Amino acid sequence: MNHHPADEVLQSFAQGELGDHLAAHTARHIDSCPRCANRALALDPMARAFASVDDPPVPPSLLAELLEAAAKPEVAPAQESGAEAPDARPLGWAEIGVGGLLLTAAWATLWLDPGIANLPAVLRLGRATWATLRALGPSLDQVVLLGTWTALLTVMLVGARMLQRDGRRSLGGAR
Amino acid sequence: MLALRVHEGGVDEDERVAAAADGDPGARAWVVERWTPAIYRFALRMVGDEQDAHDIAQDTMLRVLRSLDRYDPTRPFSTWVFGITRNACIDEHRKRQHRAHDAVSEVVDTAPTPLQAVSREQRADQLHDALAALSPMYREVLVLYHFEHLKYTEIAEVLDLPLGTVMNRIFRARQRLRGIYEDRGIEP
Repeated sequence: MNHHPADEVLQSFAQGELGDHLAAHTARHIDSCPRCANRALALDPMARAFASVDDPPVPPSLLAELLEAAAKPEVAPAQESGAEAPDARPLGWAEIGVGGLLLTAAWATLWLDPGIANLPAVLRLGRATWATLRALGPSLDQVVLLGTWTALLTVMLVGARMLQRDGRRSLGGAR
Repeated sequence: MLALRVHEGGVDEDERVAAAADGDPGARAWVVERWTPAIYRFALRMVGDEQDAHDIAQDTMLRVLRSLDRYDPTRPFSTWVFGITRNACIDEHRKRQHRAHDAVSEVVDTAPTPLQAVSREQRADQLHDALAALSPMYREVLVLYHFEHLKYTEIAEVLDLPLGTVMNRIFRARQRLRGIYEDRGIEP
């Protein structure tokens, strides 16, 4: 809404007589226009009731206690523990990328040199699995490619998911 | 004369909140001094009891201080703080529902005598009584808009609801409040 709404529109707005779409549109304008916000308040009879009320005083002891608590390190975010402790920090994109590269390297190592000597038990098991898979036919190259990209995508999606979840929590999760 | 609506926030507040999240003692004290009164006022108007409001404000501010690293600076700090406070008030309301004597219902049953001329203090009492007679979902939107001066879009963020839904709720809340005033023979 580029222009200021007429008093009739603001009157209808204050009385809830506008449709949902126009009401939301007018609300957005009022949010960004102090002049219209005050015109709308002036047209709302109940607004006068609110304007005549003073704010209640805050107990001085409350502020003093909280200022004292704020100075203590155990109230700092990094020191938090228990149920209110922040969740694990989400993976960064660099970490996701490094993880993907390591996975790719692991796949490539087994693919290019399955006869690595002196492998630890876990890798020998991997190599045996790999040798079995390779014996099944040439289409295994495609399997390798697909597996590599699947692993990369999985890591990236998990990372994106963690970032997204952290973003939501920043608004509502601490409630 | 109605007061101009002044919306807080801005670069200075963003910087102070960021510094507080990094553990700066001065910035953390600023967060306490700037936001504790707002949290206490909102809690008091929602629960109607000074001691409960005191406890809610204390718990909420400690939670804010502990959770500053979770705050998303792309959103207004006010909506984040009021969101936490609102949930604390909801928890308190649920506790009250389990008590034998609900302070809110006692207020609802009170029928003030209509007055032709009332003092400012009496007007405040009348409004608080009428607000207490509203359900919490209507009371909170009126308190956030008229007392805490949040924008409509900010209230939508606090409630995590679409703007259209919030507007509908605010209109209904105003209508019901007006109805209570009329039933009691009070002029706003």
